[in-house]
Amino acid sequence: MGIINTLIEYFPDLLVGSVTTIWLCFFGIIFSLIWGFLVYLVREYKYLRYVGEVYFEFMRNTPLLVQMLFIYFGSGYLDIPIGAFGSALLALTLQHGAFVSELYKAGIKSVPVGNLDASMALGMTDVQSMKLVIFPQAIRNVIPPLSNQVILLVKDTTLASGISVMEVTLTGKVIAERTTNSFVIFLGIAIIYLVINLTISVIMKRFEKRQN
Amino acid sequence: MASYIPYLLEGALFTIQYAVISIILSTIFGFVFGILGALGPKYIKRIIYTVVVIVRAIPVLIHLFLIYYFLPTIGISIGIAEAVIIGLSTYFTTYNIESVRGAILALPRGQMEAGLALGLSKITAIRQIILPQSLKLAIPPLVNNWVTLVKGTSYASIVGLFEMTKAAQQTAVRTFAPLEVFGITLIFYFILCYAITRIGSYYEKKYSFS
Repeated sequence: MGIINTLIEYFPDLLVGSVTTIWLCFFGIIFSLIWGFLVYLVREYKYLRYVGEVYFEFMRNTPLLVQMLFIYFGSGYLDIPIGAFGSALLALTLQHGAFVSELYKAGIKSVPVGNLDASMALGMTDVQSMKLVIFPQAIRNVIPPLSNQVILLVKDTTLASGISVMEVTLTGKVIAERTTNSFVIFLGIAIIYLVINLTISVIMKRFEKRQN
Repeated sequence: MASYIPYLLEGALFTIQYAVISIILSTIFGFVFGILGALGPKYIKRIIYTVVVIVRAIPVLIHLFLIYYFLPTIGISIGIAEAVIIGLSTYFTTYNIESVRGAILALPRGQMEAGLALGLSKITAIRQIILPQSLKLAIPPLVNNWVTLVKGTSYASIVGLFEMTKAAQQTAVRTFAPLEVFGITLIFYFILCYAITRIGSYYEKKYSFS
């Protein structure tokens, strides 16, 4: 019985903590979708391509937590006032933006080249053919892997607890030190993440269906 | 700063040690349950699939905390290092299961049927026909999982484990040189993960002769 009582007693506190988590997810998703597009453009542009590739490889092969620590302590050292939340958000955007750019790249590549040729033959400009012909088709291919990436981002928001952002994990950690049933607290957090991630995948599935 | 290099190196060795053990364990279990998840009886397939979906929806860090706090409540007292190794191994087993399962299911059905028609037992057919072919397909996603696992070891510092990231954090606080310390740490992880990626693509090329 102790388990359920502990869960009921502390669940409201966890919900308060998850408000910060949800903000982090929300801004993280929006910013990394935009940043990912900019990175994609850099990776496709003549000589800047190599810069984009180095950036991508670096982001892919280093842990998000260390990036957060670097940004958090580094910004403090250099007197840049972005705070813990800002550092976490910046690191999330930089890392997941890199992955998102890879997904955009694959999605756009999956549209047959003939489409571009055809739109050119119809007299469209570069921008027009991208906007009217390539993107609408690419979006359909990008959404399934993108929803995967969004779920990875949501899971990575836990790392913000490593730089003292009071989100759900750190809230749980603080509570866990006060109770005897510590593992129940993390069970509660696991349930919160399950709910968030399942909601996202349901929304994405629906969006995917509408696109088809 | 320079006097802290041995301390950082010690942390780095711990990271490598935890990563190697967890990679080996999670890959072995990933293959066992991945094969069962692709070719086993129906109810086993369903159980494996459900567990994989649930575990993968939970963040690594929460999984590590769960293992760390849960095992003592059922009477298993373990140190933090063991808890993290168990946590990372079980978590990334689910990733490897998906990779192995996907690779096996990507093979044409006829492969298994042909093996059985030739009079091979199911075990022999799996060992001599299915595995060699699916290994080729499984290597790229497996290598990806290994890189994710190496990055995952750094998250154990939040649980309280001493490894590279923890060593870096302590050093940064003591030396007041966060940019250098975390810069070195980033480069260390980059070299480690990039090496794994390179080794992976070497084997990928070696096996993709067909």
